[in-house]
Amino acid sequence: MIDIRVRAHTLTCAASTGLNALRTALWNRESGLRKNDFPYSDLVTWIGRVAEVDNFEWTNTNSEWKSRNNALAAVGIEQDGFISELNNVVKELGRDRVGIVMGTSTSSIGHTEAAYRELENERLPREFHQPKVHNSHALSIFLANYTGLRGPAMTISTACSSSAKVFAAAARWLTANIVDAVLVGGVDSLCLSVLHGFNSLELISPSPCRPFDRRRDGINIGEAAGFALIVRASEAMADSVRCSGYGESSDAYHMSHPHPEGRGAEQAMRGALTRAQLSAEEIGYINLHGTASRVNDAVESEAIGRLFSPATKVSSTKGWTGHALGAAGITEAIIAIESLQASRIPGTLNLDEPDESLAFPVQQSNLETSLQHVMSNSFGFGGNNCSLVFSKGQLH
Amino acid sequence: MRCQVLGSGVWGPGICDWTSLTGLFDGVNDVTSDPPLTQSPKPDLIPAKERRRSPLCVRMAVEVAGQACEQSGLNAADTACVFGSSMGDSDITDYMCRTLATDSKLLSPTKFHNSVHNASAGYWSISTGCTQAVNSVSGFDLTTPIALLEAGVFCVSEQQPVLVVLFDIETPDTFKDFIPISDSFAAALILAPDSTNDHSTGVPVLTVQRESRSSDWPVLDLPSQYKFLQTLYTTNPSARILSLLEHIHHRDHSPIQMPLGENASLVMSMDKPA
Repeated sequence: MIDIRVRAHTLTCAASTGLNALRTALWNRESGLRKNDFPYSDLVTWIGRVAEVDNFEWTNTNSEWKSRNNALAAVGIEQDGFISELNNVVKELGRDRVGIVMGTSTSSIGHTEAAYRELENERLPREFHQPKVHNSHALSIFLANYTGLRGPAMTISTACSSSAKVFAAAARWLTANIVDAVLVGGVDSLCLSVLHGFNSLELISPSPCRPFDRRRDGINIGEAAGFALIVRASEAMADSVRCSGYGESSDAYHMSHPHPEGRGAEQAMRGALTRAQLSAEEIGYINLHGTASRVNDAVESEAIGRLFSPATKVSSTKGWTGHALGAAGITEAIIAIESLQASRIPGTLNLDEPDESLAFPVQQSNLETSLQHVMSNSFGFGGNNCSLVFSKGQLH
Repeated sequence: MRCQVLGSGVWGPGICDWTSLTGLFDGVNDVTSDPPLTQSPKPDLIPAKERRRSPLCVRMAVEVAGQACEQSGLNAADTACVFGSSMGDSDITDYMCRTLATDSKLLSPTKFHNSVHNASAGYWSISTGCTQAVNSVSGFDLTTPIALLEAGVFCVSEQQPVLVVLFDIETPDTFKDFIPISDSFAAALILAPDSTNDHSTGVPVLTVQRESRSSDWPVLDLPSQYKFLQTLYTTNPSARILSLLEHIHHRDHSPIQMPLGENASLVMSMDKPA
């Protein structure tokens, strides 16, 4: 795999808007979860909601893009000087040479839901006639317009692995010389489809989620917008974080249940290690998918146990953010990168009584430790899996 | 990027396989209605019980993927995939949004897990035992060139064969005012690294390039009696692949350009036989 680097990154999620707030939340163990107060939903659960999005103002000139998902994208990409670094890259490489690969599970469906609440004679009211919003690619179209980038734009929608797979796609685009830089990321926003959809599968917890806890009883849905600017090593600082491996696999088992032994999860992790030319012992920290669903956590734990020694530190950060679904991959990739850079591991929030029946010990409290290589796992519906490895720069 | 085209599959109005498609290209198929009715796809790959419950999106994608794999002789279990769809399953989007506008908001769990964009890809991987990388992508109106680009990039950079499937169903009436997809259509190709077969085998070899200039869609020169096919080509984003399929059928070596963005095109051309 060619040497590719993360030149800039930013994250907005329930726990934080921008990286400084994220660091405060992580290292002070401040969760972003709250009781469900999402409009039109009376489900008894907790959610990860980004409050700034509620106040986002659409004007007459940009109302054709109106949706909660696009508003969250706009709020997120404006943090941490990300746009200014993107503009630097555009100046260096040209806007035709910067591509876009975004991950999202539900795109702007929240806005389609709103339109259906106001159906007029089986037709959407005219103000909702927004072809560029009511489709699976809406996020990337909006961001191409917002940033002025003119390279190819693609949306990956593989449920909860969507915005992990963007790193794999970007690595291939750079390898094949389709572009010289890729804006990758993912945005998924709260909507009734996922709140009530996961509720129909009885996967929603009425309490703050407790990954790997004996009493864990389901997930909390969250929303997030994360972005990274991926370039070849020659276009990045020598010490910038390296995206050193990715592994993609399929369970080939069931649409909504993971393979009982975590076969696909293991294959994805092995693939990422092989590509990074690393042994399992060299991974210092794994940010787990760790949704707090009873089955998923057990299966992931088993797969980890077959590959890694219990000395490897692992944790889930869903207790801060909720499960951001199509944005979970980028959210946790960025938390893994932050851990790598800060030499600190976030423990698992709300894990008070570890499930002794699980194969692998999960880190409860935060921990300071030096890290060279970290992994992030994302597993989605359809048995779609992706593992990523990030490494400190100036290696090999 | 150079890839061999090892197999193809297609399903749509008046089209149940490659032979019926080429019959349309050649103007030899009798068509009695506009658009012609086609038997709903029933891919044997999906077990009968599952198949009855699976939506058209899934059945037509699995049908064309199965045709392409069979023709290629490759084992589907070992073949990576890129599924492309502009809208995903817009019937299920319609169902979800309608249900969520009611007081009860009670969704069917099966319909919910079928609502993900990668449902077709997921059913394919489950049906064939495919454990490889499976992707599901959208480019809205540019879904065909984006999925072909992604498949070409995957094939060349990973040096392994890839199945690319394009599928979009007719949009529900609620969407027709602003996204009018007239008919459902799916197509699949198997791309493989150019080193897979000796060039003397007559397998088409496709060169795929991304260029920094704008482009219009290719004009599809079709027999005039098939108006429905022209409408399909211009309204269904997945049917944009018809221009490439027509070139493959006629062994037409002239380049095909598709728009890939405001200032980007995907340019594809087939090698002349040695």
